[in-house]
Amino acid sequence: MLWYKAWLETRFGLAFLFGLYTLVWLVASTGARMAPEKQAPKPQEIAFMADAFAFPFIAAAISLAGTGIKTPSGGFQNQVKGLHGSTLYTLSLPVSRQRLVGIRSAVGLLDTAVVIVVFTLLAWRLFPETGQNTLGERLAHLAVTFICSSTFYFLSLFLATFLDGSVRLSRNTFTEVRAQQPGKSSPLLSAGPEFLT
Amino acid sequence: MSDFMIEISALRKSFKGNLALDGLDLRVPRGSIFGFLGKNGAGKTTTMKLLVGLLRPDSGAIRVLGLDTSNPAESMQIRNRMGFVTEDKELYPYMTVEQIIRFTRPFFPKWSIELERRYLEVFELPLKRKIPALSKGMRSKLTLLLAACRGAELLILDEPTEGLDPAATEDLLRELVTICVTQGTTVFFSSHQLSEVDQIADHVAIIDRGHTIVEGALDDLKVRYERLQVVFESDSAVPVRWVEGAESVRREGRMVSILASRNVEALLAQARSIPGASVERLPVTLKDIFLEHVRRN
Repeated sequence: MLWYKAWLETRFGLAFLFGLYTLVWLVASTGARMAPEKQAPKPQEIAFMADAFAFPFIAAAISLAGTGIKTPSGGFQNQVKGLHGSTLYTLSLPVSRQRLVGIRSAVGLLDTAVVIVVFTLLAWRLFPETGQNTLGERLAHLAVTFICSSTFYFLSLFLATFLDGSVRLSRNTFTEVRAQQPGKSSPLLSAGPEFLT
Repeated sequence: MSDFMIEISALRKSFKGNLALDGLDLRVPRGSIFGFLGKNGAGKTTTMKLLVGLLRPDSGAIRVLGLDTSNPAESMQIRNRMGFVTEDKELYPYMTVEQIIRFTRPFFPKWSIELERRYLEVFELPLKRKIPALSKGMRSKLTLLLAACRGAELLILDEPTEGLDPAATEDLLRELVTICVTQGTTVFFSSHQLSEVDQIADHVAIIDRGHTIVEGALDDLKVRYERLQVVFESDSAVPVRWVEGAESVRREGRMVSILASRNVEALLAQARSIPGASVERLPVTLKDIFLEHVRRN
């Protein structure tokens, strides 16, 4: 049931990202179709475009890390309200903290992987020259993108879990670093390191 | 097996230098309905969070169901055998009533489907409604359902009736007594409504500034204390000193109200010895005991 809960928590974020990136892709593909014929891009332009694809995925990773095992509110409402109260309900369940963190991390990471794979494939379709030549190269590109995004994913998850929103990579604003009052009532922070036992 | 569901000794907990609990001692008998009283900031919620293992004590010992809360494995066993209702009754806002019940049920092998059905009917909880759309009363009832249906041996309830209307409060109190009687569940609850505690609790503890100031069976406490109301003929007749045993003496003009814990007969004799004094013995309520101890402390 923790998988189900984690899915309920991330599904709106995933749907939002799919909607946003699909919109961007549609606009870009329409623009590409309407543009007059151009010369083939230079290698450095291709490299720049390929690198630029990584940024939306980093934003997606941060967004899907959300508030970690603290309960966010559903949809696109303000995520701060209700953050602690319902988290106490989660922590009072007979489940180890490692399992809580593990399952929430896994679901968010899986969502991130889906976003990366789907939109990298769409990007290659739109800009074929940015795609690598062989299947091995394409897989390597996907793997590197995933690993890079995962770094930001876990950083965001770590900050959300341990720092009680003092410094949180917000899902609504993607890369904004929000400075908030450290909450002394955090069950995670107050409990000390044992909360992971 | 211990006779006590909860045993706390010399418990201390501070937050950034502010002492929340200062050597708290408490023993909750098995099968009791235990009222946990104190002013705001006395340390009730902190104690409850420590019992559930959400906080770690600075020092002292806590045993719940005979198990040590500081041991992670035992703490998980405790959470498996108890129900906890938080003060704010916050639940997952993205779930419906049906979803949160379905989510919670598998964690507890002893979950009672029968009780779940009964509560859904008695509390008239709308299954398809999202939790934020529930009234405060409905949410309180839902949290009680989620705590009670798990077949818990111990229910820890932080102000379960806060914000409820009198009818809903009555329903909830009645259900707490039923749970205690039919399932043998120990109920440990905090409340600011002393009349509610007086109504259902058989044991109480009053804490103030992080330590216990009164603890015991409610009937024993009521027997132990007595209120004497003495009306004198004139102001000058009121004695300046009373014999030992008066916990508190409050004077309003010619009338003196005395809360006595011992030596009642001697106090009575002293009052009656004053010419023209009329003495009345009054029953003591939990409110009297609470107010006198908290004010004095």
